[in-house]
Amino acid sequence: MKGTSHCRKVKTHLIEIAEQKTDQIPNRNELLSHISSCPECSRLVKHFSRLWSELEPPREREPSSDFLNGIIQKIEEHEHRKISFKTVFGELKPFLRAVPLAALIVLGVFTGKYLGDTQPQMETQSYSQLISEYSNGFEEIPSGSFAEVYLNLNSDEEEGNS
Amino acid sequence: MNDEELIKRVAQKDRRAFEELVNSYRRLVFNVCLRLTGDRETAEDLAQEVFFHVYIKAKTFRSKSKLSTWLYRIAVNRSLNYNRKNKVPHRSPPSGSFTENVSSKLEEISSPPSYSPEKSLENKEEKAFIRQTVLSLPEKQRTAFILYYWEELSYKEIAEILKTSLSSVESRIHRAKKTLREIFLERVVNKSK
Repeated sequence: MKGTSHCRKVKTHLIEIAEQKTDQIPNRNELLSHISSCPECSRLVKHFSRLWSELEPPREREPSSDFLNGIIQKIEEHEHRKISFKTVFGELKPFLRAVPLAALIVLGVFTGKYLGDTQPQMETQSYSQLISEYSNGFEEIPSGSFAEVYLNLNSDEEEGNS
Repeated sequence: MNDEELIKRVAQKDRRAFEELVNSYRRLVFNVCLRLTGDRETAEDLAQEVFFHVYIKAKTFRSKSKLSTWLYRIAVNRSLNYNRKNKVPHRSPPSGSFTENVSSKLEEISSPPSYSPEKSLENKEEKAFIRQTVLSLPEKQRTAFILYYWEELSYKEIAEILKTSLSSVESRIHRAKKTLREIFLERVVNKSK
């Protein structure tokens, strides 16, 4: 039974054993003595350690002899594209400056026309609305209020004068 | 010329300085691209793109970090983007009876031959098995694992390259090791049967 739990523990700590970093393993000495006494664990550790040691970095490779030329070519293509873009842009520059100015003038003309067409209608509408609201206000004076008394007084005076 | 001086000159479009930079770092950049993609031709294209990017963007380099860290970061990002764009399949881990199903890509990073033909075959087979198993890991684990074991970088350097925390790097490598342990253990058990 004890052997089985130790065997399980060996499997859990295989990497630490393979890398010889066993300091952190609890009951390390007990585990190591189990490995030397258990043929199955001993074989497992041996094979696993061999496989794990193969994880070493792969051999470094060299890029092809044309490597640098390839980069230089990419840079030159990029610079050529940049130059040709600059040339085209340079020729168009005077026209490109005039475009926003022309657009601004056209926009100004249309805005002026729109405002000129719509403003008188708005004024007429708002004036007639104001008059009707004003006259409606007199119809809604509650009876017996101070405002009614004042109006009656005024109308009596007007009748007396007439 | 030190790295800081070199990159300053490259920023001024000094071709000689650029060539010196390429000659100093071509192996590093090419090999990291090769280990992450597993294909020589792709790795060469990507490595060239890395240096092209360096030439164009040299002005943006901040000397707070090392030049090699910057190069690693660009190379790793380019390789991972390539893998994602080209949908490099998440390889399934190789089976215990793994012999001939090693892809040709993996041959590119296989070991040099040893003297005995039989041992050489077994050794080659085992190395190919290991490479395929590493490449079968999930992306984040695989990247951290390759930078740690194959590029032999520290956790701190890896964290800087991947722009992540130290604890995240630790956890990725820990999970990668756990996965590899299970696969290796299965192979060892199957072989000894």
